[in-house]
Amino acid sequence: MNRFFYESLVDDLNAKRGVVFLAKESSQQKYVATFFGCVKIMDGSSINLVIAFDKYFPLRLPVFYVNDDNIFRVHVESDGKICLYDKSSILINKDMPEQILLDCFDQAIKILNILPGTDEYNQEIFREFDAYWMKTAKHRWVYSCFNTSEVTYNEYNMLFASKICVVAKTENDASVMAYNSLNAERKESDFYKKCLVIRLRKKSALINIKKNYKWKELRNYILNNISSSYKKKFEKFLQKKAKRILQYIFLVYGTSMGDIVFGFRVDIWNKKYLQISNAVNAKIDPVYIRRIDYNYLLARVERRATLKDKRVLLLGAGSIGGFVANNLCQMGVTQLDILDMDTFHEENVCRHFLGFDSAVNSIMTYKADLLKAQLEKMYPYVDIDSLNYANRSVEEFLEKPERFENYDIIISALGEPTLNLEINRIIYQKQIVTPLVCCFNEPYGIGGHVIISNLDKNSCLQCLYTKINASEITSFRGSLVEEGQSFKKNVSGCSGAFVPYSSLDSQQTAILATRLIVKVLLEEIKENTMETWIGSSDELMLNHFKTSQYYNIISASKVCTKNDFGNCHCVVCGGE
Amino acid sequence: MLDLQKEFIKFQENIKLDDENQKLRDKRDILLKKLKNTISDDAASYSTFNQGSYAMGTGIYPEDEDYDIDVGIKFNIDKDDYSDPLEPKMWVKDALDGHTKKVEVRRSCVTVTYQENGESAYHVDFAIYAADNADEKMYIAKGKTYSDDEHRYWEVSDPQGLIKAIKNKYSGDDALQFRRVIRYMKKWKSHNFSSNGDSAPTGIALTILAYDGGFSINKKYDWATGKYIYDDFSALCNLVYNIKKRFSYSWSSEAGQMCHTMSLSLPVEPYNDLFVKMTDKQMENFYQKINKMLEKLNEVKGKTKRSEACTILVELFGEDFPVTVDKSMVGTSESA
Amino acid sequence: MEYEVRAESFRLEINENVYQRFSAYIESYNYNVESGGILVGILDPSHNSIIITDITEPFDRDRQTRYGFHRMEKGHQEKMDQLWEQSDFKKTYLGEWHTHKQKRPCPSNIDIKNWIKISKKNIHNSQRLFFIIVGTEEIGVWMVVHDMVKKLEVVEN
Repeated sequence: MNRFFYESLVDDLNAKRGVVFLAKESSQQKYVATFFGCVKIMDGSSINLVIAFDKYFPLRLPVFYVNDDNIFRVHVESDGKICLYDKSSILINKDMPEQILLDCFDQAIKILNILPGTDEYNQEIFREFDAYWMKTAKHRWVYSCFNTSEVTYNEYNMLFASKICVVAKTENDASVMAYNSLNAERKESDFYKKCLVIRLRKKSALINIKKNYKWKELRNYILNNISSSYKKKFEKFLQKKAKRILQYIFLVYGTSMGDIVFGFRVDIWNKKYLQISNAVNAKIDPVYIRRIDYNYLLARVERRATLKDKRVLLLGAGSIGGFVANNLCQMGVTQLDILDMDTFHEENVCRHFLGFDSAVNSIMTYKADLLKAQLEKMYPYVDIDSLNYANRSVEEFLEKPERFENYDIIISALGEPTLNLEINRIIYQKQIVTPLVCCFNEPYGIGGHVIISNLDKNSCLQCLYTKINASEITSFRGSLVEEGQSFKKNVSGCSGAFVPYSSLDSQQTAILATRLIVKVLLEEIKENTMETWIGSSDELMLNHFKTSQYYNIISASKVCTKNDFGNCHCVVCGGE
Repeated sequence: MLDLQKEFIKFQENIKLDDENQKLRDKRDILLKKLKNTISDDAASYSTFNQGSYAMGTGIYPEDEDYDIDVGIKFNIDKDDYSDPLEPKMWVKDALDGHTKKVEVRRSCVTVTYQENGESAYHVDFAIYAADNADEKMYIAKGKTYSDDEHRYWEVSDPQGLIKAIKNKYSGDDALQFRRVIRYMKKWKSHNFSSNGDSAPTGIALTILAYDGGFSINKKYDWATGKYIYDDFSALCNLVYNIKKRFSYSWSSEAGQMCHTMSLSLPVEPYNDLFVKMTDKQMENFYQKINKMLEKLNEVKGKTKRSEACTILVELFGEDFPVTVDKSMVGTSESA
Repeated sequence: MEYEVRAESFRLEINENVYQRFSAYIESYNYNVESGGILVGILDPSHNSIIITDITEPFDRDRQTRYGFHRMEKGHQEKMDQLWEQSDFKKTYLGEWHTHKQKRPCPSNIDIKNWIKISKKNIHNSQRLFFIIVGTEEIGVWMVVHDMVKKLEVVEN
């Protein structure tokens, strides 16, 4: 593209929008053409604007710079660049460069017209505050892992480790986070320091974002925007006399979109003892908060904070179990017990959440232990017990079924119907109210099942394994493959026997299972449910196996949900 | 409760005898051919139809191999033209006389007993009807050779209506279960009552007990296969229970004791009581046997071993009921 | 052949083909090592009888020694399952047989203990189990009644 191309575009803009932008050399090398001009906005003021094209235009949008003041504006970065669009939400039609420039210009004007005090301005501030504050604070930042919803007027703890700093409710929280999850190197020079964490009053004004603050300004902002009970405490703090003090203050500002947290480093040095309130020499530095607290990490998932308090038992850490464990952690489950007696090997890698590094781990060999290590490394708040007592067997676990009562849900990814039925029988017999979720794959990618039972008394797992006209046990009635076919494959001897399904099948089943488990934990599902995902029968047929009648009935859908699987002949529950 | 449907189906196959049975057709056709060839020229024209249990689809093999074939002969006559119902009966008797071992005129039919060399005996009951009457109804000729006038009469009858009623009660697979369960009852009867027929309820009585509210279809929709699964055992239990409930308990002056009795009308003309020939004592015996059967069936319900359940059912129905067993676990064994 | 045990109202029949297999052992077996297997047959409650219709014979896995026969599950179970399915699920496990180098066979203490142990298991289809020893001249049939081993007598026709 030559200069003329850009100039004709801008001429078009000038004509259509009644502005005057002229080409002018810019010091910024990354642009191939820059134009300077001036626009008027609604409050009557004029703003000098730069339009810049880089060589990728129109694949990349033109850039608009505010070329003047230090006035804070929403959607305007500290170097003056206007954030026009969220790139993920627009599709550029690159064949219409004139229109692109017009649209971008209009959007820039629209943004510049968002004036302080308006709702839109405030909304934008809330949404973007962190981004602005980060820019303001520059390199000064700390991790915070305290639960912001608990904040009133608190004295919390900061751990200054090498390279990082963590704010937490207690010293212990801070050290666990810093050394275990953030992998900070433990050094003798590490130290703790108290800090103030204060919640601002509802509907108070959010602080103006600036590069520099004065102590008086900050002090008054805090005093004016906290409730009276906190005010007394803060005044007490202000009345303290000090000569030299380094105080971190973190403020929590509640919005409908969640809490905003921002901080200050207040460095005071006086020649003599003075009340903190009246400090003469004070340096105030904005501090950016990198939030890694549970609620914040999960905020993007949806608000599911209650999952944190649920106790989950996972039986089986095989192909499905591994993925379920990971999914649950991502959904916000933090208290997970995993029972599995198998060790993890290289040949498991392609069907398991764990990878090759786990298979060759020289310290740990059990799947449960390896999952614990991996997931705790990945998710800071997860606390996994790999139930490393007795012989890790389900049979042994069943010796003391009252253990089930300690959990909010029991998940079986064992893939062993005999054990699942035994668990079902025991929880029914002992009147344990914990819901049971069993999940398993069918061979050759034809599908998978998730069965939730013990939510109501109209059915139980055994109903699905009971003949329709007799109390005799039969093979799984919801099976997608015809009864009596053996799918076990052997690579080498009995121990190498496996059912042919792929990692994708397990992941699909695990996804379905996790969705349902979360719903059960949040009490969104209240009745026993069987959900089946239905895959293609091609591979099954290719291997000369047959589909079941049930598959033929439901194969038109992708997922089949069934609630009325109660069977009056069931010897466990008597069905309905 | 065990799934005994396969066993009951096999049992039914073992005992079932119906119109499709070639042996039976052959035997009947031989006699009808004979009748056609030898009947007197004086006799009125006639048509024939099959009646009885084989025609209704509820027939079973007789225990004593004495097949009982029922054929209706409809003479195109007006009963009012034949004051003596014996006259048309004699047309049939005379035509067949001498050709078989024994032909006798019984109260309600002409019975031909037949036996071929080495083959089992069978008899054909010809029921004789006047079919061309003013009121368009059918009448059966009643009376034996030496009966007095009082016992010779035409009685209104609707044998084809009865067959139709039974056959149309259910359709499709439901009808098959209905017939199977009637066959189970009839087999139970022949296995549990002495061969002296009078003390036992008749086959038609058992059929009507089922027909008239005692039986209901027992099937369940199986979502996994999209099919209905029939449960003959439960249907049978239910029928036996309903029969038991139908009895009333009262003082019988005839027996001089409290007895369980009931009456049951034929659902078509002449709507006669199907238990009229049984004494109160015989009815009481019937009741006791039904009660015993119910107990045994309930015992079967509680069994978890197939061999034990089948053993009880063999006791009830005889050796035609198959004795199946669960899969054996052979384990290991050490000997020296 | 028919057998009965005193005070028990049932008969045990051994089918001709099974009897011939036993006879073949009597006639031609060298008795250098013991042989054995399971008894398979059907229940006939309407005639109060039990009929032995088939037997299994040693498989490679079984341990055959001069003074003992250790029957494994493998092989015999598969044969049993096959007979069961082929008979419309009528044939069942009925007990054990083995050979003894004895003219008139007599169970050893190990045999008796083993028979009682097998009979005590409540997993069998038949309430009555039978144990046959094939000697060098005749065969003997036993069953376990109330933890006691009882010999069955041949019924003379």
